[in-house]
Amino acid sequence: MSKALPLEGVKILDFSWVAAGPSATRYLADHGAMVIRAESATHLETLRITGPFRNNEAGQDRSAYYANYNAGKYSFRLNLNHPKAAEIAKRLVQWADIVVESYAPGVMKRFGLDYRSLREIKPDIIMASTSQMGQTGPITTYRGFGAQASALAGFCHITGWPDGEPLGPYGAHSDMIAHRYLMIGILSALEYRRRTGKGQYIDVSQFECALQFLSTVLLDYSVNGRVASRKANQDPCYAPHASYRCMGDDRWCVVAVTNDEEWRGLCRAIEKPELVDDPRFSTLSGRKRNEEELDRIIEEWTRSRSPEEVMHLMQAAGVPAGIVEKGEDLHRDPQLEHRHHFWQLQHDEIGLHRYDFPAFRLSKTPGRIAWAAPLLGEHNDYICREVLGMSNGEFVELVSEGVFE
Amino acid sequence: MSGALSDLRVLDLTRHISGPYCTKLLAEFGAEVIKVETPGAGDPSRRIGPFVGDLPHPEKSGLFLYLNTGKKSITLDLRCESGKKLLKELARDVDVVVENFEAGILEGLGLGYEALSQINPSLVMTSISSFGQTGPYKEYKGTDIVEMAMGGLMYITGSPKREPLKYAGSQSQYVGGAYGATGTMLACMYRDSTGIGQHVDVSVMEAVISSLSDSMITYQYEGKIRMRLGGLNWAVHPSHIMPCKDGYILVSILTQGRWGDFCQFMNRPDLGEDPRFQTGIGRVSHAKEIDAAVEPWVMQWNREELFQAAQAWRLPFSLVLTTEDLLKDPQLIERKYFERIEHPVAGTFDYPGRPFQMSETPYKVSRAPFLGEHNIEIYCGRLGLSREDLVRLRTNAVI
Repeated sequence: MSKALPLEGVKILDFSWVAAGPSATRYLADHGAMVIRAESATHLETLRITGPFRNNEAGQDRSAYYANYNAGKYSFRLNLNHPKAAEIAKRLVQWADIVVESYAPGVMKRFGLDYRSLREIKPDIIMASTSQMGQTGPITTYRGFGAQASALAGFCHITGWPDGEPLGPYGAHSDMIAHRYLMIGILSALEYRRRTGKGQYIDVSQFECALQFLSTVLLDYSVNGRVASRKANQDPCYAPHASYRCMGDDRWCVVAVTNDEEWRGLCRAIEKPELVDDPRFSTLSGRKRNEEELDRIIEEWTRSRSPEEVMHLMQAAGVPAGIVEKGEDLHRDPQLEHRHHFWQLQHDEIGLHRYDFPAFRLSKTPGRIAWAAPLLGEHNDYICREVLGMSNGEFVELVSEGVFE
Repeated sequence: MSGALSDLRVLDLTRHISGPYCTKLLAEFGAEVIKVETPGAGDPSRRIGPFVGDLPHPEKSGLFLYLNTGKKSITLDLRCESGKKLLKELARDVDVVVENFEAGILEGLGLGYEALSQINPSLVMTSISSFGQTGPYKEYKGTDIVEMAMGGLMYITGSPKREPLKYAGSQSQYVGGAYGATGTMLACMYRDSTGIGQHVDVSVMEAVISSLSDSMITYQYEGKIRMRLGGLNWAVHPSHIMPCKDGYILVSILTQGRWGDFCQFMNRPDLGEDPRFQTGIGRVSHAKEIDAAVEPWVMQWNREELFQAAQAWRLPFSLVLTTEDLLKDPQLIERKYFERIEHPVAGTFDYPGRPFQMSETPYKVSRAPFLGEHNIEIYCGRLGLSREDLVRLRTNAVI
């Protein structure tokens, strides 16, 4: 069978919103799935009303945040609170292979669209729910977003300086983590269905997904009862291991020395060969003991150089080092440019805009972002007629009744 | 009941964190994973702690034990000719090879995708590296902090007054590993319907970029660079971590519309009516005045009481949990997140468990293998070598 992309022919009905669900389904769309995003004007998707907006003018079709996670999808406007909406949704379920949703636990049931109901309509349906805390447990109905789950999951407690208060990771960090597991869950379920013909239900808790990323620190507690604390950039096994101020406004470069060979390389790079055998720094334990002094010496050298120069000189000497890249650095980074990380697409309201591409590249089926993010309800007509096979009369009637608000 | 991926046979050349995490995910959902380790030393993570009782031992590294649950271990020296030959034999019979050497190392050994796909044309091979297999930085050295810096995450983490911060605990490695599993599965699906294998190339730097939410788009959109703001970086106030009686709590109204509810909850209607605080911008620009009122009030509470009381107001406060709290968390306990695993040498302890629940297919957990534990099973059982062959290979340090 010839196929252009791995997920060609896979159909996803997507009731999810904000970040975790939509970013997962976007990556699946990039690899060939047809994704219908069901959303409503009566309760706009949070990202549609969250900037940044083109020219700072707010508008439901002008958010770049929304655009990045929803490129390549079909937008279907459907007001699930309308009495006739569930019926339409169920017709789409019959079309779909996979249903994704991220409402608070219990909401899909209220719409009559929980897994049990969907399975009755379509026995081999795969349904994936992503929520803050999972579908069960004492705080399953917890109110909050990714930022809150990050604090709960222990990220805040261990991010920051030892002499300061806990700081958070940036933004809705647990959403950013969960989308990866949502994809793995969906792909695993598809593989199982291919072999057995059976669908299933996937329950993704962002809280639990986030903990996967802290496995290393959780283990230290379960193995030795040691509670992780804030250590800024320090590493128990490596030194130097920090971000150093470079020339320019708020510009930095990180350097990490993981063994003695790299230490010798660093001394070469900063042209201080006498430090190699300096008893304060010649061993790892010496470098850890005198880390502050070491950081001062290195920063003295980095301050008069650009982070690019620091990185290239260190790397040439075999020392792991990297620019602390900000937005503009990423957009002109030669490595990302070479790997075509950004896709430039034309959007009706936003104009030309660059989109992130997935970090995994398949050599023979690299995937593509088929089109820029859809306008709200852009594909209602197409979906009703072509996917659901509605007559003109039925379509017009439903429109006039407000089902598609 | 079979696992979701129980048809999949994986040859695992990975070490440290990103690669082993990728194959761990595949193993947990049912794949057979044969881990190839260096004779004698094994995966370097066997030498990285935390060690049980803080005593370094190759079978007692918590990091190794966690990252290699459910796998089989064989030893093989990939640098010698006999070792290469055996690896090619093994690659003939698997669906997937995963590796996370620095880019170019395996090609140098004659064991890259080109070579292995000639032996097994439908092979899916996944390579996870700091910057990817191509491009000007492909041979640059990366570690967790370097990948986090280059991927743009550090610039936005921390306080504007101090240096950029990394996240704790090797997180970029976990992102890279999770994307490795995703790419592998997509390529396997493609192979299942077409018979065609391919090479999956994961860049950890790019994987980190996928965690930036709005910070990069903000630049190209508004020409503004997202700064480190401290706290949680939301342009909403109050929305940051504050000390309370017995720890820390994230105080948060999150959406602008909840300011009025928040003031009622604090029993401070005067703040709710104060004209300075009526808009989001007003609250951000009078953050100090707001904090002066909120912080003493927060200090009167125990964190659990305040958390529950805020939930009753549907205000998304959050506990700032420690690792100790997490192992005792009632939500995680009820959902059976942690898995207790017995290991004959390391002992029994709780491991972080499954990332999500699947209703039909089980999640498989079993202890990590000893170094070379499955040599006989794989070399004799699979490749048909004799015990004498095995002794000879061992004497020559091939296995």
